[in-house]
Amino acid sequence: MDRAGIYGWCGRSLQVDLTGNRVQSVPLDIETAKRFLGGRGLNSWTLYQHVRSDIDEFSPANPLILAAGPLCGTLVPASSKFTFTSKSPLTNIFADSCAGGYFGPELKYAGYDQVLITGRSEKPVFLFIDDDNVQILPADTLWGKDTWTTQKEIRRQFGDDIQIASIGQAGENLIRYAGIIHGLKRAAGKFGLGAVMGSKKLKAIAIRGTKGVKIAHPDLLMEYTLETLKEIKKSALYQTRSIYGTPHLEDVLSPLGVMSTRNFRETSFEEYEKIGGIRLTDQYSKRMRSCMACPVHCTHVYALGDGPYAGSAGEGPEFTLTSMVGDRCGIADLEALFKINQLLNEYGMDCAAFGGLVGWAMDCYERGIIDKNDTDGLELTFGNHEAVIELAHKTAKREGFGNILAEGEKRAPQLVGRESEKFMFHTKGGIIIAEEPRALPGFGLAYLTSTRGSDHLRARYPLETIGGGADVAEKLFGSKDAANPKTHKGKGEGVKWFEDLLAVVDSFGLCKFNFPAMMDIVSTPARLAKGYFAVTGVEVSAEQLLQIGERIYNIEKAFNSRLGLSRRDDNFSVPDKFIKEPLKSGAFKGQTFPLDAMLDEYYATRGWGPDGLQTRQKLMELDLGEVAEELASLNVLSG
Amino acid sequence: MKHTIWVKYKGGISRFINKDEEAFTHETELSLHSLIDKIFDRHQSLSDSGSPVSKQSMLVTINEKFIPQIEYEAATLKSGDVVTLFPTVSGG
Repeated sequence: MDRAGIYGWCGRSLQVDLTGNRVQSVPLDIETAKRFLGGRGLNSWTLYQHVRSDIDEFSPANPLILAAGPLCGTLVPASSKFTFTSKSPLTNIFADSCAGGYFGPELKYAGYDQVLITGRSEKPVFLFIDDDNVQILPADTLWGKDTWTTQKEIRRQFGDDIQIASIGQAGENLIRYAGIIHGLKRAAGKFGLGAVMGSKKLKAIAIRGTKGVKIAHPDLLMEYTLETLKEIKKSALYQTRSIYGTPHLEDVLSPLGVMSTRNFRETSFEEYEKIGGIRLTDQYSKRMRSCMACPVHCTHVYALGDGPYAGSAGEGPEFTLTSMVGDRCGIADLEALFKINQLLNEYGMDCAAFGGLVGWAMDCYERGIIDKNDTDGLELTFGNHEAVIELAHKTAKREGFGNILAEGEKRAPQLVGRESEKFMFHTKGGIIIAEEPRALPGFGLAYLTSTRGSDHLRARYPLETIGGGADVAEKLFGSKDAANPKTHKGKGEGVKWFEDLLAVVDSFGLCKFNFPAMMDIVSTPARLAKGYFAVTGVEVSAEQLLQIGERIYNIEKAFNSRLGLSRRDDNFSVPDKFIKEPLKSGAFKGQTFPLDAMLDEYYATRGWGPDGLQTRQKLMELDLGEVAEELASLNVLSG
Repeated sequence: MKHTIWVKYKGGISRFINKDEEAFTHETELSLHSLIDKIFDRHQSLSDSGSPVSKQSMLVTINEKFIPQIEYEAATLKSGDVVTLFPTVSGG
């Protein structure tokens, strides 16, 4: 392919066959790239094409796909994101996971948009992409080591100018929520893609890139970058996020009564200030760090000099850890959370899933469902941080009770039995994270409609908690309902809009902390279209861009429909907990989750049937005719 | 009769104005909108760039109940009411 006219994209993909020990560089199909943008979208299409049946996630046939979108590695603010995609060993459905840092841009600088990894190596290996020189190298000496040590040793051998993403012992031991870690904490953490990598005996991917990203309109990009930076920096959210980081959410959501505390027993953690962003900043943060090209620098750097966890150091912890291991497990010892944060990053284990599982186990322990005979003698009461530290070690190594927690949200309650499943709160095997769905119904609806199991990042629905959300809702949808957490109305339409928008944001390689939450939300699609044009030279309208996002969402949905998922799966693992049981406290006291009304509105807005399945008409509209034919042949189209 | 409204500040707002709570006293009943104006008059730095909130960008509870933005205009405050202001956030 002539790459002369290609901007933004590199125009090449790598195909890596670990079984045959072969690597091949192939041209990127630019028309496919335009249909799915790159990054997440391109990966979603590739996975749909490669996995056509319900394969074992740990089989060599399950690919692991890495990509960085067309804006990644450019001057565009917050353009550092890369995406891993595969079929999840945690949820057994579609999965991807994004992370920031410097790894995604390095892939682009080496000259590749996507890396498709198939097969399984007999012995541990790592992939070294050194511009055009790509090698599969032995990793026998790295196997068994944590993610930090692995990166350090690869750098010692090959140089400091390398960016690396690695699995730790959790990925090697096939923990179903093992993540892939880049740097100290940048985690493609969700849904067990680190375990897929471990099943392939692939320890790490190391990249050195010395090329640039070709820009279609450099002057326009400079103008675009400066105006976008200005927009981000004037937002109120920027002021708190760049000073206190994501743990500032503790200081707001807990007193509001939105936090799923002690495994959803309460809505506020009485000791939230001890683990919030303000205390972290005042007493522990050494400085803030950012991902490449990001003005927000939302990550704390810490190092404990004394106390029981002296020597513990790293970056973070983020709100996902403080909320899921802190509030969810009743732990108010911030220094213990620093230690747990370090352990989970070193082992390469998702803190959301781990915290959710430990919170469930603590709940079961306090209810007498399990006891010390089950927990290897550990006293699993809420707040016992020493026990959680021990469980982090045991889980990563699959020892004792840790071997049960290693199996994830769907399987662990089955292994324990004794009606313990009544206290495990997930959707499609993905843990329900911090924000209470009964308090924020739009945020909660997005847990259910996420294409990768319960997850807040598909829509990252902001309208209920962002100041001025009502005005945004009115401009976008003609009604303020989408921003009002006291009504179910408008949420289906709102969630769909943000899901489509964030499919674009992810696929471009941008951070959704910035896009759209730190700018004028209504004009964000137009802003994205302008940046896309400046970088790639491809001209699309805001509406066309949102339609591409919709296409991406629909291909992910189709992957799951092909596996037999439908409306019945868009539900909580314990529906009555949320649908019938009113909140007992907090600013949203008395609210329940109006599931059916919101799902009805969501499906109708998406142009899907009331059974939650896609329609031929919608797929044709999105230029996915061949997908419609396949789903029809499997009898999983609506109507 | 004087009406006294207690105002609490949470998260980054309390740090920005270096105050956790304070009272606002007025001769007549106040609307939530009027109270917000008074808060911004008293703490003029809240209007500066670098503020974690703007008049259009914050979350509010009255007596620990969430008030959607759509209800701000109709919300009237009684003496003794506790209004809590939270900075804007977007999920983690």
